[in-house]
Amino acid sequence: MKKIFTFLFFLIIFNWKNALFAHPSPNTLIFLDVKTNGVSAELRLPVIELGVAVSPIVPKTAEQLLGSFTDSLKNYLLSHIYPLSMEGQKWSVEVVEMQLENVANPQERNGLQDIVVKLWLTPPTRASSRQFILNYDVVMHQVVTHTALVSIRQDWETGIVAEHPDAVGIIAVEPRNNQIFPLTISLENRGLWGGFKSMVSLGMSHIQQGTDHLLFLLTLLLPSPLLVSNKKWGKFGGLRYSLIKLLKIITAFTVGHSVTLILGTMGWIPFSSRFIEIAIAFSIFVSAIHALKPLFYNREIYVAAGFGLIHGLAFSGTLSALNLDSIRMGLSILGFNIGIEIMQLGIMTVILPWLIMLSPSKIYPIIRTIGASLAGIAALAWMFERIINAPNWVTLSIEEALPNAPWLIGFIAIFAILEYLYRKWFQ
Amino acid sequence: MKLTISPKFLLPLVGVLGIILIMAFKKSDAAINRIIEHSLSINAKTMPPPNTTQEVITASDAFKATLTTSQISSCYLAYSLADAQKWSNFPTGIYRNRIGITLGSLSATQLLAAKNLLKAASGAGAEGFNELEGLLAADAQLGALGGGSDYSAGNYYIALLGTPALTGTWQLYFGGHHLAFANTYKNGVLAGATPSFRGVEPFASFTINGNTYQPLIEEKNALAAIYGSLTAAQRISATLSSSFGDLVLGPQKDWQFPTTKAGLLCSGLDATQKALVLAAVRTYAADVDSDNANALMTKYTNEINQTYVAFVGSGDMVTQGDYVRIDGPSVWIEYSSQGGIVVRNATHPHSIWRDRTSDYGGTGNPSSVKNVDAAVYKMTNFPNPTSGLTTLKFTLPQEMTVKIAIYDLTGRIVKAVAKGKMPIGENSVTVDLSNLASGIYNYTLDTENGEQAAIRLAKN
Repeated sequence: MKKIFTFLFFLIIFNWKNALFAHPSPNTLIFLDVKTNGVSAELRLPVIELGVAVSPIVPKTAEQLLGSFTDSLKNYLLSHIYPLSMEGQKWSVEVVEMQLENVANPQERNGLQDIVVKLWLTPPTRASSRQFILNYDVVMHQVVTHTALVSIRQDWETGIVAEHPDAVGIIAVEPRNNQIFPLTISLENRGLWGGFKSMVSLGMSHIQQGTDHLLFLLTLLLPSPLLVSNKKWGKFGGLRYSLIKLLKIITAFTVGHSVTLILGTMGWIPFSSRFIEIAIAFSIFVSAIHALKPLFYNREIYVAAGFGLIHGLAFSGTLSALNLDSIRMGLSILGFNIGIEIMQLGIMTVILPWLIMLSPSKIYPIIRTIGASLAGIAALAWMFERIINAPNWVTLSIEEALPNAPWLIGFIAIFAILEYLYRKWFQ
Repeated sequence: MKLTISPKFLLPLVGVLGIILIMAFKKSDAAINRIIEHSLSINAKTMPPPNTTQEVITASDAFKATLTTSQISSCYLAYSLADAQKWSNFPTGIYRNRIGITLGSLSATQLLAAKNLLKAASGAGAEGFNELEGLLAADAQLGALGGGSDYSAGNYYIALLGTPALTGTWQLYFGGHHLAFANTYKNGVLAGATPSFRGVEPFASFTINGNTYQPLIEEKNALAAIYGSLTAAQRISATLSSSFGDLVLGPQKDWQFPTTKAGLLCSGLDATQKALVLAAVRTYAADVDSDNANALMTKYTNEINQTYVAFVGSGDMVTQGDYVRIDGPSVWIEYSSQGGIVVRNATHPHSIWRDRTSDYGGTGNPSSVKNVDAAVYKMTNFPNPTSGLTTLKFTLPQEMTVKIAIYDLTGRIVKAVAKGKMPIGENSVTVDLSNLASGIYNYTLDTENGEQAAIRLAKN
């Protein structure tokens, strides 16, 4: 028994990602989106094994399965999927959609076909949609080597979103006793507050991974402690001046991206996501130029707000895909935005003090020029990557160097302190 | 300054003394162990060990001598079942957990020494080492046919788990896309040559670098010959109703042999048919050196009357879905013909040879589960006796994966109720048992820490 569990864990921990994405042998993938009133299930059934399961001697083809055979296929599925509540009551199962998809996967399964089935599962009255036992033996009642990998793709209360599905188990025939164990789905009840907290941490992780958003803001802030003279960046404007300016820019950016996050979440996304990504890279490029030579001095807040609108659209995709009711959507927008803000402010507080400390010094122009140039190069590389839809060595090295960012910040901090002490004692 | 010794000072002193004492005892323990090991090794030496084991050890030492320190540290590892189990039938791009070093990373001298080691452990003729060379060539061919760099004769891993010697437990690990074996040696004897996986794509004969190969043709022909020799009635009882897309006991399915055997029992076969079954088994056993292959064949021959053969599909072993199983008290062989991955228009086989008692030399063979009192998990059941619905309640000390099943009193499973991650605290599962025959059953809860608790359940 322990071996079975060990195997299961081994498979989940070491192989799950591979199994899920490389999809090496023709397994079924089951994705569950858990809603308050039911569960939406997507089954990806490989035709090659489904055809054998419904007709072992002469396997059915995809055309036969989805052609005149559609009704029998529906009935077949309904007689092999029956979720039960923990109280032993039957859930209702409805086939919403069935369609053929060609799996274009570089590994192993290239050229194979999946039948993608969308189901809607409704719990009996008063039973929760978060706890049930999934009795399931599609394909594997006949093809005993077949397995179904089950993951939760979306659950608001526990903060699971499509980008990071959560593997919950494998349904398969156990070789030892020839039995198929129904799979228990048991999601923690965290309620509205739990869902809200999940959204806050989702927002935080989103901005943490969104290097381009942070780089835009940092580049825009790079020259902000400075005054302009002769259309060039001049001397330090003073601590009070710097702080007020920083605050203004950050607030403007926040207002900008909050507006479009709300609009985008409610379905208003006027541009393709690829265009938005390119525009974000462009926004970094513009602020890099501005850091080299003032382009829009004293009008930074408009630029910050304007580009904030675009960045917000990029955030909104995550939430609009959740398809929530209005209370949960409202809480999500609020939580997600708060998460973004917390992370943004947190990162600013570890970086900005050093910039302000350095900005009165004589070498700040050098730092500013190097920083702005690097940001400009990164922006161009990202734009290029997003236009031709393929990474290049610059974007790849950024990806690789990113985990070392804390060291860079530490180095800047030490440098700023030493430089400050030097100025104070020797000048 | 005046020095006073307060009792507080004594505490760390006592602690340090204690540690020294414990270490001294440990040391003497180790000394005793050394003496025992030594006497064991003398015992082992008094019996002449099979020459092949010594040959493998010598070849391993010679191979080790060609390696750099860092290569040795990745190739010569401690013995552990966890590492032994890290093999697969997937190419390296998909399965990345293999251990040891790749043949592709070795210099010409090192590769020669590695091949000598593999040769020392393997059989001759069409099986064993020549089959191994053919399977490596097949992967090179797959790479050349457009499979990409994942497929290559260099993507095979070699490792030695434990110290190759005439005493103790150690294993020669070899594994890559379509070949993996686990030769486990215990006190100088080959205690297990399995699990031993073979697969090949392309299955058809191919020529690469002037050599022509078809490494698994002997296995396929021998298995097809069994089917060919069966009468119509025998074929019916040998044919399974299930379908098989792949092996049942492939990689990471260790020690999961079915408790019930299926198919046609060989005791009813005539002498010619039995000989064909054993000939097919020999195409697997002969992958190890001839002394050990003969010893294994003696065991499998003695057990032939308790061995089953089972088939699915056309019987020619090259049609998609064709499947064979030979399942005895010890031997377990599966052969599955499945769709091509790189060579699309042809099938390719996966095959495994296991042994119900000596896989990994017996390491990891699951002993009985740890039975605990039902009170540990506060198991209750209501109503009991029941005529239909009954609710099982149990309490978990933390969130964990559990398995709930109902067994009859002979230990046969009658209902798989549920498995999966269940939350901390009280859980309840209601199940409908109206289809169950009247009688007494065991309602069991298996937890991920290997414990099993059970309560009695009566069905009216």
